[in-house]
Order: sequence, then C-alpha cells, then structure tokens
Amino acid sequence: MPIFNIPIRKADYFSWGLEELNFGNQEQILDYANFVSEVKSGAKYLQTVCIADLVNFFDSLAEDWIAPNSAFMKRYSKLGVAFLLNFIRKENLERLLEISLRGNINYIDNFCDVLILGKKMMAHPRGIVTHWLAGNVPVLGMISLITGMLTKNANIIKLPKEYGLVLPCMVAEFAGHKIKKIDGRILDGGQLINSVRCVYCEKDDLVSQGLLSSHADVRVAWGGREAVEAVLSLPKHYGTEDVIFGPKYSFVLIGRNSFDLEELDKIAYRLALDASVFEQRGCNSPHTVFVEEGGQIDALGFSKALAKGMDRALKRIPKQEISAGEAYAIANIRSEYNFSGEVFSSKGTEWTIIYSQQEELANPCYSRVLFVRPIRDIYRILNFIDKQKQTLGLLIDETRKLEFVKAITAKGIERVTDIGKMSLFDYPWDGMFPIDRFIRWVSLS
Amino acid sequence: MIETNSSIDQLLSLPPFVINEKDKSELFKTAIFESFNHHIKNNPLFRQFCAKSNLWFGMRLEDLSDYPYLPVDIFKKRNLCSVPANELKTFLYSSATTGIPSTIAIDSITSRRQITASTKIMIDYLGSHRRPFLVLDEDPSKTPPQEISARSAAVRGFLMLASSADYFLRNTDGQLAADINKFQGSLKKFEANNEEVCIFGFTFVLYENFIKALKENKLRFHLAKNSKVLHIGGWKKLEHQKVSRVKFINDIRDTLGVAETDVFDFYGFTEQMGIIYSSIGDSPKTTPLYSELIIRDFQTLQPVKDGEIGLIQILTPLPHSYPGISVLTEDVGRIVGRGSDRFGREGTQFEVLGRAEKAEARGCGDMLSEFINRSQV
Repeated sequence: MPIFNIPIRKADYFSWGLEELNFGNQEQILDYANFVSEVKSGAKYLQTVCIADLVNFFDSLAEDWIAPNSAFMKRYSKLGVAFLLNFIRKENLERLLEISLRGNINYIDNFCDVLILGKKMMAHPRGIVTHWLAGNVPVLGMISLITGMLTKNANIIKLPKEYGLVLPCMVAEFAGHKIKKIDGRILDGGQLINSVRCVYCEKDDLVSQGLLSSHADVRVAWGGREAVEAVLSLPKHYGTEDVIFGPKYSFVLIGRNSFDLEELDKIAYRLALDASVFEQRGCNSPHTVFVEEGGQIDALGFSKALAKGMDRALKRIPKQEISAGEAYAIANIRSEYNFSGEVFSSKGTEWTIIYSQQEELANPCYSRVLFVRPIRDIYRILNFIDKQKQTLGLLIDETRKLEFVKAITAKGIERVTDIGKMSLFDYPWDGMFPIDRFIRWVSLS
Repeated sequence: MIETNSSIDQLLSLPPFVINEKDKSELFKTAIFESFNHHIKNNPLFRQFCAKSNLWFGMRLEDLSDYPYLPVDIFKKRNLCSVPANELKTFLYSSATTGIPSTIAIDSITSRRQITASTKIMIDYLGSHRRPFLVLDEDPSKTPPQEISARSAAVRGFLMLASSADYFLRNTDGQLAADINKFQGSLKKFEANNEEVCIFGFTFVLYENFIKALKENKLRFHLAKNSKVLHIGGWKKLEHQKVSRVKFINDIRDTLGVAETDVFDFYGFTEQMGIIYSSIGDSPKTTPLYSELIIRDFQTLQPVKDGEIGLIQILTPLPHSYPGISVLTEDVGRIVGRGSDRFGREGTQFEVLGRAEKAEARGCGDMLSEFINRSQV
C-alpha cells in the first residue's frame, strides 16, 4: 500500500463525511524524499514570519472561529474545539512559548543575549516534524500541528482513519485567513499552510511507516500503547527527537470537608464538564472519582449531585452519537452495577454515574461514564499511582495540599488541577514542555 | 422438581412456527410472566436487580420491552442461580472470545426445555428422519459431561438428528487440523451410495478448511438430494476475506452439489441455549414460538421501529436455573418482517448484521484496562 497525499482542502471533504478517511482517488506519493523536500521548501515562508505575528495570526483565527454563528463552530462544536480555541489565544500561546523558551519568545526569531551565560542563543526549528495522530480526540492533532508551526518546523501529519478528515478541513480554514503584520504587511494563512502536508498510510504498512519515520527530525506520536509503540519501533535517523503522548489515565479526588455544602452543585457541574468535553477519550479525562470518607458529603451523596451536574453539562455539550459497541458497553456496565452498586443515568446512553464501594480505580468505559467510590484516606490513592497516571482533579483543604501533591507526583501523577480544569491543555504536559522538544538550541559566544 | 400445568410447558408443547403473531403474543407473555416470577422469587440477586427498576414479584408487564434485560457479559461476572445448587446438572461455558467465558448453570428443567425446543426447531427445518452427520469438528464425547463448552454443546445438540457421526478435525497436542483426505473419502462414499448426508461445522472452518480445499483441488461432488449443510458461528472472519453469503452458498453448491435451500446458517448463544434461529440460504432468520426479539437503539436503548438497526435483545421463558429470560446480546441486527416468512413459518424475521465492535484500545484510558486484562491472565 502506498502513502497517500491528502490535500488540505475544505469543500470536498464534507461530502465524504468526517468520520472515516476516504482515500479513494487520492494522490499516491511515489517519491517520498521529494515530497519531504517540497514541504521543507514550503516552510521557508513560515520561517520568515516573526513569532509575534504568528501568535497574532492564531489569536485572530480564534476570534473568527468563536464568533456567534461562526461556520467553524457549527461544523466542529461537537469535537471539543473549545479546548482548541483556548489553546490558540494570544495570552495562552505567549505564556506557553515563554515558559518553554527560557523566558524569551524572541529566541525563536533571532539570536538574543543571555546575560547569565555571556553569549547569544537562538532556537531553530528541528526540521521535519511528523505527527502520528490518534482518532480519539481530533483536535489534539491541531494542538500538535500548531506547536510545530509556532516553532517554524515543516509538518507532516499522518492522519488516523477515524475522524481523519477533520484536520485537513480545519487547516484549510487557515487559508482564507489574513492579518496585518507588525510591519504593516499582510500575513497570508494560505502561504503558512505550505509548511503542512497531510498523508495517510495503513498502520501495518511498515514500508510506508518506515519512510515517514526515517525522514522525520521529530516524531510525535499520539494514541494508545500499541500505536505509540509501533511508532517507536520504526527506523529513525540519529538525533531524531521523540515526543510521545501515550496512553494515560486520569481521575479525581475529593477530600473530606474540602468545600462548603452550598458549593456542591457547582463542583459537581465542573467535574461533569471535565468528563463531557472529549467524551472521556482524552488522557486527561476523568473516569474514577474518589470521595474521602468522614466528611459532610459521602460518595453516594456526591454521586447524586454529579448526576444532576451531568444533566446540566449535557445541555451545554451535546452528546456525540455512539457506536453499537459503546452502547452495549454502557448497557452492560449499568446492569453490572445494578447488582452491586447504585446507578444514576440519563434515560438514553448520554451519561452514567456509578456508585460502588470498591476502593480501586475503575476500568474506563468512556462515553460519560463516571465511577464514584469512597476512599478511607486520601493517601490511599498512592496505591493506584504509577507512571501511567496523568491528571488528578483535586479538591482538598490547602493545609494538606502541598505535601500530598509532592507525594503523588513523585509516584507518577503529572498534572494536578482544580476540578473543572482537567480538560485544559497546559504545560508541562506528560512531563515535558513540548515546544522545547520541537526546537534546537544554538549559541553564539 | 417436575413442573405441571406450566404455561412454559404449554408453550413448548406447541409447534415452533405455526402460531400467528396475535395468538403467540398472549401465550408468550403468560409464559414470560411465569418465568419472570420464578426468577424474582427464587433468585435474590435478580430480585435486587429488578427492584432497582421498580419491578416486583407478581408484576405483569404488558409490553415485553419493559422486562429488564441482562447483557450477556453479566453471565461472565456473576453466578446468577435461581435454583438450589443440588438441583444443578451441568455447567455450560461460552466460547470466551473476549477472554472470560460465560458460565451457565443448568438444571434438569432447563435442560429438558432446551432439548425440547431445539429438537422441535431442528426437526422443523431439517425433517425428523436421521441422517449421517459429517462433523467438521472434533469429537465432543471427549468433553466431561459436567463441563460443556458452548462449542461442544452446539455439536451435541445438532447430533440429536444424526444416525451416525464422523469427525473431520484432528486434535494433535491441542492443535486442530482439518482431515481433508478423510472428508473427501466420506463425500465420495455418500455420493456413490446416493445417500443423504448432513455436513455440520462452524462457518469459517467449513469454508476456509474444507470448501476452499475442494475448490483448490477442483473437486465437485453431487451429494444426494436433500443432503444438508448446517453451519454456525458468524461471518466476521469470512467478511474480512470478502466472502459474501452469495459466494459462500454458490461455492457450496459448486463443490458439494447442495442446493441453496438446503444450506442452513444457525444462530444462537450460550446464554439462551436451546433456542436456535436459522437462515435458509440467504433468507432472514425467524423467531420460533418460544422466543421474541427486540431491537434496541444505540443512542436511546429504546426499541426501534422494524427495519432499523440496533442491538439484539431476545426474550425466552425457557431458562429455569438462571435468569437468562431477557438477554441483551452484543449482536447488531434488524427486524425485517413479521408474520409468515417466505417458507411459511410464523414468527419475527430478522437479520444478524454482525457483532458490536468493542471500543478500540487506543483511548488514553485504555492503559488501565490493558493492565487489568494482563493481571487477570
């Protein structure tokens, strides 16, 4: 099977539907090395644009996309794009760039003085960033791509089969967007996207996958264990950087007496939003909620409040249609816990809260299924933490917080957030500053 | 314990495909009501389960879709027994394609009902006279009777109509291999004697290991008229190989000389053993008097209109030792007709379109499920 070039175009794709990549009639890439050279050339314009203009470009895109009745929101609102829109706002991008680039975003444009070292430094792009995307959360691909563009790399995106057309369609939105640069000239999104190519090949086509890998200067892999291990096993050249966003599990802990009773509904609603944003497909999505015993609200009481919160969240974030397998999984888990716990759910498959007394992490079911369980003491969650646990949504009183967070992060947790902020993409992520991994530091003494 | 005057026995005393929809409705509802009451009275876990849906002993539900369903996976996780342990006769184990088998405890009442139902249904399709069976499997008699896998139970069930049986899968150190030479030899013998024969096997094994081998060797047999091919086990693997039902039937006709109307694709599952459904050639399957089908929508889990696709739920009053009277399967299907089918059988006609795919192990949260699965091995 060959590698297909999937053009970045808007109109054509919608007639195919977004859910599955239709690569019939697509152009086959016969000379991949040449294809890579073209993309590198295409990135030359991007490399002339200063970082402040790039940040303004994405911020301006967000303004357009977020506008009332915007076509973008109509098309993609069910795909968790609020997350993307927050990410590309100027304030956020500048913050992420600054923390990743040693406090000075201008390193990405030019040599800048580093007084403490008595020299100048600059952050060059690494070259070709090849992104292997997962189908579970399409907008993560945009996060990955925009990171690659901000660092002025050429980007090749290996699309997933599921939701594979979302990304080329979204990128095509760049083409129609222009802003006035700081120097007064026009920054044309159409030229920016010359630095991006979308491709597709079958996952078991090791020849094609090997080509993608061996021409990459940075390999970015999103997805499950099998997917990221498959990318890691491909041949690469010396010096290639690997940025792996692999499988992780996230959950919530609520300490005893950590909030006033009147805040219960608000907290439950925020948690419901965290669980609804990506239909729990994100590695930062919560699956289990532990409620410490001995407080004013027990796990069962919290379950009831959470059920109300899920109903409210459903109105704000409509549920995506689910597959037969997901429907069966929901029916099955509800039945299972009707024998051994308490089930609170919507009439259909929209959301499910399952209370049980098992003091362990629940096997994820996805599709807005949350397991609420009592825990005798917050420190008992240390038994469940390892390096595959990512985000903990935490609500405990401040006096216990710092020591507790030190203990759980030492064991493996990578992010501890307030409830309601689990679904945000922030830095560090999976233990790293991704922007930093996309660049090559050079110095001038 | 021997039942008398049971509405379930009355149902089972009737032929499977002659009662019209209206008459069936009353008979079936009465039998389901009796069975539901039996389980709710004798099975504390089931009683507790029903109580969560505000369903109690003695509550007669007019709409079958109001009876609670148990997904098939429940039988993998819970010992749901509605009779005392000393009344149990045997245990059935499902094929465990997902790693953990269902365990179904069978008492003599359930066993008798299963045998009665399956015999009546099979006779209706195949006729009552016995034929030699060529079984494309290993000999199930080697399985201890107390522990029967669904596969060997299926083979044993079909052998009720066999005058003799021969087996064509060899088991060498746990590895099964098709004995194609022996199979060809048997076909030659039955062809030469013009003797009716019944070939029985799992759909994929039948096609992949036997029919394809005959095709590759360019062998064509002309088995006696009324010879039958019976197959079970689903189409998924053949679909991956792009083998359509039409091609499957045509290849059977070309290699064995068996007509489309003598090719039977049976469907059933361990959790409701005894009730079997057959396609004749490429036709839909028809429910017998002893069961009824509901298709549930993926989004709402409510019954859909006829013709629409959803998860298959099947109700039957037969199970006595376990509450498998209303089971939600992992199979996707649709109802395509009601009343008399094209062969004159009364019942609900339906198609099984495949198995609901489990959510792929690629979400970030799958790390935990991978870990749990590993630790259970």
